[in-house]
Amino acid sequence: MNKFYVLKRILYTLFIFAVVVTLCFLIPRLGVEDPCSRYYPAQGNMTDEQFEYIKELTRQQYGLDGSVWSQFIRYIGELFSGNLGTSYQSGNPKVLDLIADRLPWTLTLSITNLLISLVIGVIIGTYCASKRGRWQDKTLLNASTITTAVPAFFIALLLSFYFGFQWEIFPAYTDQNLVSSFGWNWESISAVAYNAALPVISMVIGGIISYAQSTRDSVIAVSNENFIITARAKGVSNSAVLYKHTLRNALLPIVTNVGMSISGLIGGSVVIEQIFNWNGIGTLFLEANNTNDYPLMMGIMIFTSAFALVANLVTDLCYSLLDPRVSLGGRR
Amino acid sequence: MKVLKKIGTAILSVLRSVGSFFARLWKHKQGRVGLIIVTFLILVALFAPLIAPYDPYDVTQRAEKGLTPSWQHLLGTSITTGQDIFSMLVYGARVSLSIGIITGVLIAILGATLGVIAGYVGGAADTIIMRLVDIMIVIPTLPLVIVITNIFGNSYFVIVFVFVLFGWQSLARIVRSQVLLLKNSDYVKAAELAGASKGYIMFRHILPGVSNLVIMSSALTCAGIMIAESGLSFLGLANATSISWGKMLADAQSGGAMLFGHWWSVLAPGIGIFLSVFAFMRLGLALEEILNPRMKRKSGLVKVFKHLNNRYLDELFASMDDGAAPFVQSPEPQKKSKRRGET
Amino acid sequence: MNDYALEIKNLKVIFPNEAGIVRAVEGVNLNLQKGECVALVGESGCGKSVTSLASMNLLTSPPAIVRAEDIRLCGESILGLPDKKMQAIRGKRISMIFQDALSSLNPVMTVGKQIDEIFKRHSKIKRSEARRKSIELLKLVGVPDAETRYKAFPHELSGGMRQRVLIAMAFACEPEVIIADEPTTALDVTIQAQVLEVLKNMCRMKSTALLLITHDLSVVANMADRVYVMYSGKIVEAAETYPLFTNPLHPYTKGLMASVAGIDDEAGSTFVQIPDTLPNPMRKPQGCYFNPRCKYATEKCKEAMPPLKTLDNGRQIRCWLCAENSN
Repeated sequence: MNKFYVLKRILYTLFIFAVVVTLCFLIPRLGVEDPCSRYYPAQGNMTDEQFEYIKELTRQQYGLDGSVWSQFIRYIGELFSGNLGTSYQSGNPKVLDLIADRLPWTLTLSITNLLISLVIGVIIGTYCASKRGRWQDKTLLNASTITTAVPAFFIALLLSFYFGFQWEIFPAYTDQNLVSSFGWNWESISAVAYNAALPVISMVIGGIISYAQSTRDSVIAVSNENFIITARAKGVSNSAVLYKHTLRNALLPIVTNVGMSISGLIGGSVVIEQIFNWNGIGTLFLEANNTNDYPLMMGIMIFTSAFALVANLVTDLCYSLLDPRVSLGGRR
Repeated sequence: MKVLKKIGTAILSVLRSVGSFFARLWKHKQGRVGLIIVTFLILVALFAPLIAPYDPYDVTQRAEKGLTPSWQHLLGTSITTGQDIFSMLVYGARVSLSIGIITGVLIAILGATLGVIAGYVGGAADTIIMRLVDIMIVIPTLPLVIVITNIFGNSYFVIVFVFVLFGWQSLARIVRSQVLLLKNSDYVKAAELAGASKGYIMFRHILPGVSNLVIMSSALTCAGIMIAESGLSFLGLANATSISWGKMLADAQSGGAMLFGHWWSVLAPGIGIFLSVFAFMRLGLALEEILNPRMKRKSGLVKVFKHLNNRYLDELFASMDDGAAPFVQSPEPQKKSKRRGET
Repeated sequence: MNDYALEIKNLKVIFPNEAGIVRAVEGVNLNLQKGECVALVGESGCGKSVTSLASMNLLTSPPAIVRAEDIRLCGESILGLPDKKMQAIRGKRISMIFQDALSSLNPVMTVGKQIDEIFKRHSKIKRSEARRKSIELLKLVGVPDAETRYKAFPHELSGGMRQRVLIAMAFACEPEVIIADEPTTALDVTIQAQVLEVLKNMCRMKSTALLLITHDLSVVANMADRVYVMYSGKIVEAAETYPLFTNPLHPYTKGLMASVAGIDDEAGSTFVQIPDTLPNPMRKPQGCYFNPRCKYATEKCKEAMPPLKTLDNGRQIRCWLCAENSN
């Protein structure tokens, strides 16, 4: 791998991140009302000067005092020291702390979802590719035409309806004591798994089928390549042809898919979290939206974008490690 | 008079090509399915007041909350407001379809324009547009959409605007690479060498190639937008006063339809969403295969020929021997099997 | 009788598809003696490659449907062998060199590993031993700096080097028969000559029988002892190379010869071309398949397919006219 290429990619990622940060800084300062007026309505027993003083204090607290430029410089400075700002929530918690509290819960859902979708999807896809044109393959095709047209949250609602409310197999709403009572013991972990079942299943259905479909297409495309015939002409056994030659090449595009899934690990499950009342970043964001908590919203945006950017970068670098043809940048 | 005649023939030829386009779509199995459902949904949306037994926007026409299905209320009434669910379903088609189609068209226009500019003009324009695409693809869309609706309100136009803002990137990217491909293709170079003007190349070679791509992808874009819209209104972030399928689902959930077992109030809007997205996807895939026959989706599907029975094959193979009588049976087994199916 | 290294008896291959049935190979008889180089010549699309793939049992069914009376490798029938047994034979006793070396080599595997794979599969030797043998083989086919090339990926090599790698792979287990499917078509003329030279030397050194599939008559003249001419799925003429070139009998062979410009041709002489193209393999003409393009075609040619007739001098020909002449 070319060192220059890596450096270029990193610099480019930083550039995009800078743009995102600037956007996140500017958006709440454009046409949004002053947080002070919302929280400190002018009260009759306060003089104008007193009120101005309180507003000034509040602005200072949220980094909204001074000119836009000085605000921006301070904002960036804080960002470098790992401070994403202060939330408007009562007690004024740090945005980063709020995110850190919720992040593991979102990642529990989304990483489980990704792993299950990926593993089962690739297995099913490979199997269907080997049965191409037969009923297994056609079933996959039909399943994918249906699941791509059904939003995941509708699947979630149906699951919640039947498995949660009607048959009461799994909890339809997450137990709110889950977070506070969590400890690293078997009981807590199984409780989390029990509560996460429905949200994960509702995401996994679409995930498995989309991974299966892309794996199948990719495997079939690769198995039509000439080098597969070469391998077979060498006398390589069918299973070795599949694992060493076909899958190795067929999974390259899947790496890109995984990269896309990884960049959506944090922000991708807002609706599902909302349906099952899951205590994750998504619900945190919706809460922030309902209370117009801009520092929190922007903090989550910056955090999520940074995560997505790093995921993209890592995927690209992984890809160039896996595919010797991409060593000099641009894919062949 | 002459001008009128010219315009007349022009309109006729356009109509004819549109007609033949629909005829091809009709011949395509998936295209026909998509076409039928989309037409049906558009008719429902247009004639909603005639089809729906009640006006769900009319507060006086509300019944008791959470009624079960009956002849008065085919799908019962809403748990939260007492509106007739069937009427809401019919009226909901208006929001979903109109947002889907309007946004789809706008995205097609914006994405294609920017893609063509980036690809054909190149240079600084290309750099700026592609950097913009990179940035917007990375930013998590849903959170930003939520922020924007928070700031600018969630009127119909803001929603459309937001979807267009976040929807054009991938199309622009595809169009750009297609333009580059065409621009560097041998026949465009040949045309340039032959002295064709830039405008001629643009309209004769580049745009036709791009337009197919845009038509193909816009149906799929519509489908994607409809899913996104349903999600947004499910979260209560779309226009709160208009009735949409996503909002119906949200109402059902928040009103406790799940708890009371009112499955119809969950299933009905869900099927509405599914049907419209499904139809547009079928349409998109059909268009893809019709407009770009090389890129056949089902190319991976190998037909297993069961109807080629052994006797047929024996005869065919025997006919290849020296001195054998030529093979007389129908060389097209497909038709043969069809005929067998009819009798 | 069992002298043949490879013997294909009455091979037929069809590909059914939505539009009809493609009749790719229609009863090909072909044999190779040990150590002999035989060329199979014809236009692209006439069924040459399908013949070679079918004889190695490499066609997947569906879509292909293959029938043959027999395919024998050194007297042993390999027709309809179960997958496992066929795999043990492929690469070890019969192997293949493909046309487009870039797409025929696995892009994400080093060249060396791809050669090692054959040793690992067919002779149970250690990895280090396989590596040593692979490098030796690369040297043998004229790859300079074989140790570094061993670790290279296919896209890092030049076309000629890649083709040499394919040749090395084919010779790895010193098989009795090698089928080379247009081994030099994708190469520059100068590289072509080098690669052919390598192929020729290797065959001579290992006394391997070579079935050379090509449409390039200069390659044939350079390499082959005998020639089969194939047209639209059937063998139309078979002869030793010299007599075939000096005295082509079938009108199609004549056309092929005439379409090549010789150096000693008079200045200003034009290329003679065969008009039109191969018939659609789904709708072949009645009678001799060549009759629509043949300037000598008679009524009889339009009615029935001529049989492949063996002449007194051992030449074979499928033509009504020539068969009559010789009688």
